[in-house]
Amino acid sequence: MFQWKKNHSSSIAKDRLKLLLLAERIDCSPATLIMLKQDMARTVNKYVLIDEKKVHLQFSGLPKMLTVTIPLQMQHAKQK
Amino acid sequence: MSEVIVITSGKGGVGKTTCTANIGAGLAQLGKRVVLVDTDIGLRNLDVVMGLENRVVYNLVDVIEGKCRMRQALIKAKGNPDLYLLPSAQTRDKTSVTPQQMKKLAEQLQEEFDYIIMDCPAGIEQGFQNAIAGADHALVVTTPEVSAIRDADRIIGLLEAGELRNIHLVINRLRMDMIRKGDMMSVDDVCDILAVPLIGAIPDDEQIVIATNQGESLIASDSLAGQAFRNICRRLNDEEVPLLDLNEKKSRFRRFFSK
Repeated sequence: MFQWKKNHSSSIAKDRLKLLLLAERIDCSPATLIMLKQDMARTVNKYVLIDEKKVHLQFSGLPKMLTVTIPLQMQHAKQK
Repeated sequence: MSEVIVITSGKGGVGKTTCTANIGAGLAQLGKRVVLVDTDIGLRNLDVVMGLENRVVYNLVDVIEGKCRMRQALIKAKGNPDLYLLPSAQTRDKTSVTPQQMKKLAEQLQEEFDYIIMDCPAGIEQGFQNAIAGADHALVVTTPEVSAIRDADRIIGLLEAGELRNIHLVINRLRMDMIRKGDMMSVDDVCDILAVPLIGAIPDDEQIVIATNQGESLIASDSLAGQAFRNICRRLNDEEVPLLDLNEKKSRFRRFFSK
């Protein structure tokens, strides 16, 4: 719905920075993080239906934690 | 009780020295006794931004090496009897001073001043270590650009690793016209990325260039940037001040059409 927003240069900057800073904070290259994200998505997708495009990685400080958010695709909701 | 504040950024040219000069002037105007310390040894700048370049006789390295007394090196700022500058040395390098010596210097200044503000050099080498050595509060200055934010994040990590956890963010050079168009990250965007509490947002204001040209502070001016600096000072002084609406100053066109 808000796809137009993605074209704005400020959102591009924000997305790039989020990935870069996450990578630098946990000392892991951005390329590796993208691979990690894809692997996680692929693995979970074997068992439940997920929205692969919206998989999201997040790092938080105290306690240090890497959170992977994997939105599910609700097949049933659609059928109703 | 006195407080040692370091103003830092990682990246150069984001406005550390301008922030130092204006926050110092603002705190002095609130009736506090303030000293600004230029810790950028070899690249002295705060003196010229404050319009005091012709009064420098002794400097920070002279004080540390015992070549003069502290009082001889301190320069009284223009227009405010409670604001002083301790200039940096121009002909020495960053290794002439150690973090321990800087810590001692800060302690010495705490006896006489309410606020000791350290203007940190760019980079993360010894100059940075010197500047943060005696500090109990850090203001990290950034602009809404990818390079400045990346460096700010690195600096925040280094400050936390150095057990300095009282950290606040200053976002400088905001251009509301660009933010409105979606071509510049907003205050919320930057705060969201860096996850450090905000203490002030300063608009990109040509008055800053004009004031710096004249070696004066913006603190008494009615410009939006001047007001933003005054708000930061009041927040440092534990007052609750709502965030300034940077949209206030509309362009002439917009003002015309919104009538």
